[in-house]
Amino acid sequence: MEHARRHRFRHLFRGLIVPVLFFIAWEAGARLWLAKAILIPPPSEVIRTLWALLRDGTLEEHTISSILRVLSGFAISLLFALPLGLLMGWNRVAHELFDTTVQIFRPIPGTAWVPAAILLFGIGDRPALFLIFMGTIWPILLSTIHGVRNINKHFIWAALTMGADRRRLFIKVVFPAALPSIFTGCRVGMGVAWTFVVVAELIAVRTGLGYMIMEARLIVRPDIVFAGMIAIGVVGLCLDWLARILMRRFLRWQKGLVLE
Amino acid sequence: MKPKIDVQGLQKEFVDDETDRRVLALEGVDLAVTDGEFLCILGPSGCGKSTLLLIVAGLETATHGRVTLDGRVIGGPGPDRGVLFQQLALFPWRTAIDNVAFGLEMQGHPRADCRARAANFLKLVGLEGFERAFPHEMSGGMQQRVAIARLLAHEPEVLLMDEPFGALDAQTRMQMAEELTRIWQQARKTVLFVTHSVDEAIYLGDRVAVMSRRPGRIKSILDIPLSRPRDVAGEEFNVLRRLLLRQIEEQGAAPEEKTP
Repeated sequence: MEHARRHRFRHLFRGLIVPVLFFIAWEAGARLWLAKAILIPPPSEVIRTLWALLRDGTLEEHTISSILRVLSGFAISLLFALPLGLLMGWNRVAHELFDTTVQIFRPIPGTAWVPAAILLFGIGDRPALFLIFMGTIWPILLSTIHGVRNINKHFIWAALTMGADRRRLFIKVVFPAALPSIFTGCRVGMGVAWTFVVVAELIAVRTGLGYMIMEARLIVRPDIVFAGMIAIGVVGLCLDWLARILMRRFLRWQKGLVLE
Repeated sequence: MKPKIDVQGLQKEFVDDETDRRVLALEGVDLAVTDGEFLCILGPSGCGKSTLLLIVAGLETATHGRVTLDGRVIGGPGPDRGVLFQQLALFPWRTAIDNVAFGLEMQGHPRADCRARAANFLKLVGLEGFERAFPHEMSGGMQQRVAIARLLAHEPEVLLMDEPFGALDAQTRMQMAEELTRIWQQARKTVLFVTHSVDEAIYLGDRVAVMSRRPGRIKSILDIPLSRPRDVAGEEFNVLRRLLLRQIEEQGAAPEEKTP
């Protein structure tokens, strides 16, 4: 017990060495070459700015609008990807019908949709949601298909010998068996959604953390740029943490649940 | 007396989709199982004994020949024939009691009813108090018991068991064989039990059908006239063991020897 704690402490300590050195170097560098400090502010100033943004509510406002955007885009994705994925995984004809289309669109990176999104939807929330949708639908769709198609055939056999009809086989066996894979896809999708909301906000809208840092660049406030980046990282971490909590809650039955 | 299960001229050929190679797994298999009988099918790995069981279960189709249950030709899986797989195929997302209740739920009994009856069957296999445990929280032997309870709960007329104790250690295996004998003596179901263990076959069966290596055929059927519970170390047991081993040797197919 004592030994394990000391071990963990040592691990934590060693892990902190590099970041601390990094921040010291950054701080020193920014202060020594003062001319450049206008563009690259020292971390102490970034932290001060972050605090100020929090105090006057700017940061909260932008964070909330980013998160709302992510959740809406993600919900739209889920609404399409989950039924389509279940159908494609379960029904061979559906798979043959849609698979080629999926394979055509999937390799197009979400960022490549930016000009098309603006052409199609102009400026505002709609292109932003469209971009998030285009980025997140694939991991959710593919992992749902994978989860259904790779179900252990013994589960299906066991259910059939216990008198399950096709409908109940699907609801009571196939769906729960595919859930771990579906959740994994959703978690990846959530990460992608967070990436794309920032991309979308850099371009198409006038709120959100992405907009905040782009705007800060235009008015030459590098401290806000860096403070915003820190906030984006922290919120991304929180979203992933939330996804993990949900996974743990709903997949309590799964042995050796992989969370990392 | 008319047989409960009648296997007539069964042939099964597997065709490899890619190489077009054909493998004859079963050929000219005839077998009649009477009502309430415990019949063991003994054979080496890969002799097609599991395939035979799957065909009786209706999960695999025969190339030629047919299987009847009470005179009706078997066309697919059904709740009248319960199957115990070596992989157990317990649903990992269901607790022990909900696994056992599955077959009853499929028959449309009210949920509370299913639970109550499932609890009785868990008690029968000695798992009172483990109702709410998930499969991954239980040992191999306990999972086995849950699988047996699940097999019995919806009261199939015929029990099909595919090397169900294969993955257990020798001691647990012996225990499970004892338990199964006890349960079978209470329930008096017709049982087809596939195994590669000579001792297990003699310990459990009213009769033992010996299968040959590929293509699988029934080579001989031996009556086991011993009263239950049987003494594995007894003189008569030894005589039967020697007799079976000699028959197997004559076919040049030596199954692995393991105690039940």
